[in-house]
Amino acid sequence: MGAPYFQYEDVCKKNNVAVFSANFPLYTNLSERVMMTLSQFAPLMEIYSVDEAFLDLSGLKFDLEDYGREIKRVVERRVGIPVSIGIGATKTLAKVANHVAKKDSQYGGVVSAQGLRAEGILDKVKVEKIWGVGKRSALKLRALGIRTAKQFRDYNNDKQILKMFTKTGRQIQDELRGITCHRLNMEVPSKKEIMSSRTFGSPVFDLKTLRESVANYTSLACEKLRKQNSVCSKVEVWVRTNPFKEVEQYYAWDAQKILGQSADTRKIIQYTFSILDKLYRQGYEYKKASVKLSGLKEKSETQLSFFEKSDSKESEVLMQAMDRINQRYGTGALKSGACGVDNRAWIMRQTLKSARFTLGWSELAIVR
Amino acid sequence: MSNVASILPVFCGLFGISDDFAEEFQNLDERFIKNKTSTFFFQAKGESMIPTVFPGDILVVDRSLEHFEGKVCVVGYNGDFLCKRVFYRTGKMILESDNSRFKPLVVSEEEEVEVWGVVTARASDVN
Repeated sequence: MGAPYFQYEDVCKKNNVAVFSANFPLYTNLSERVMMTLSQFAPLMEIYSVDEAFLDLSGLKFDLEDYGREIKRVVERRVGIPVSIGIGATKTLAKVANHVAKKDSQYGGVVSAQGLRAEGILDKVKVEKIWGVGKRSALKLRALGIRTAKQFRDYNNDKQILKMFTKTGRQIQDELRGITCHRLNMEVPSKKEIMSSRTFGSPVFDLKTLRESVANYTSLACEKLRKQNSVCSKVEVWVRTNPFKEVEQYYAWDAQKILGQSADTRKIIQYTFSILDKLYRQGYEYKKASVKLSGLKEKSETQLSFFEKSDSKESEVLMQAMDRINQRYGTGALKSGACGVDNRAWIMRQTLKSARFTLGWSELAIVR
Repeated sequence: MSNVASILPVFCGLFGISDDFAEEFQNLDERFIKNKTSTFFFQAKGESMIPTVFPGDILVVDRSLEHFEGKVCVVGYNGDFLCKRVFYRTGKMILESDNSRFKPLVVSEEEEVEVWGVVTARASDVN
């Protein structure tokens, strides 16, 4: 259950609740440390999300549950982050085991769903908790009398499962049976769309300030775009008022196709401005704006087309120089004039952020 | 007689030394950080560890080292971080200060104390 902090500020203060604003750089750094440590334990690894990874342990000759305990011990010792470990013949079985490891402390954070141990483990897991099974599918499965992972695995009408849940459902079933359908995905997938959005620290009323904030989000998004060597062909912009505040509500969105494709911050800002100009209505207290770049293609692909407009060579060189400077001197060191100089009007308030203990030198933890 | 030295063109690299002898620039990371994932930095405050650690020093702390006896460590003590020399005597943990003006701290069983990591190096600006 989540709620905005200001609604519970008094409750927190009265009960001495420690409150922290999100601190993504800190979390990312700790995640990297965990992932680097894990990578030493297997020849193949897939980083699935900021806090999840798959390790391929096939071919290892020793007891995998013992190995799992060693992995857990080493990660906690080295990085200080507790992890739970699930082991199985397939990704789905490993995730099921991991679910039990997390929920049931009797296992000490490490669960193996291999061989005969699988029976007891699969019996404990309700069908909606299986990786890939959503609420709706779970309801349909329960209508068939399937309530646990074990029952799903053992349900022997494959044709019916295929009909009701398509190939995806059958793959989940096969994985539960120990048949690999999903191998480790080693590629870092480049994003299909890039979004940049922030809530404003203080409400914004005028178009000029809105444009400034949108220009900044667009710059960030374009930086990410160029970093993965992509160009975009569609731009979308959203603006909205604060849904938790007793003010007149406004929520608007629009999109525009770019002529050809581009990764040039200046060009794309012009598009976001033209969308914003259409969306803007005076009299509303704007609380958040978002920019999305989509229709992404790899840059090298587009150079072959003579019919669509791409960025000029000069534009590429300028963008490259700007990215290098920003990398060296910090984000926003060099920006387009449209981004404004003093952004205090809308910079995100993160007044309760924990210190960036692992970045830079000015926010180190103190020892006495 | 001309005193002008004639400069001979050098075809085989700087001073004639080949690439075999080229090495990376010295860098402090490589000298002081053995394990990147388990190395964290802290800042020292207070005088209890003078002359080993001085106020303002940046401490290089490695969580992967497991021998604490007699070593300067960062210790989590009731929610705070302390920098002390750790000893175990008669089943108790003793936190000693290198500065003789400070008394040793004997950790009682009820207190929440954890050796966070071993201080491997310290760094500070001089001028």
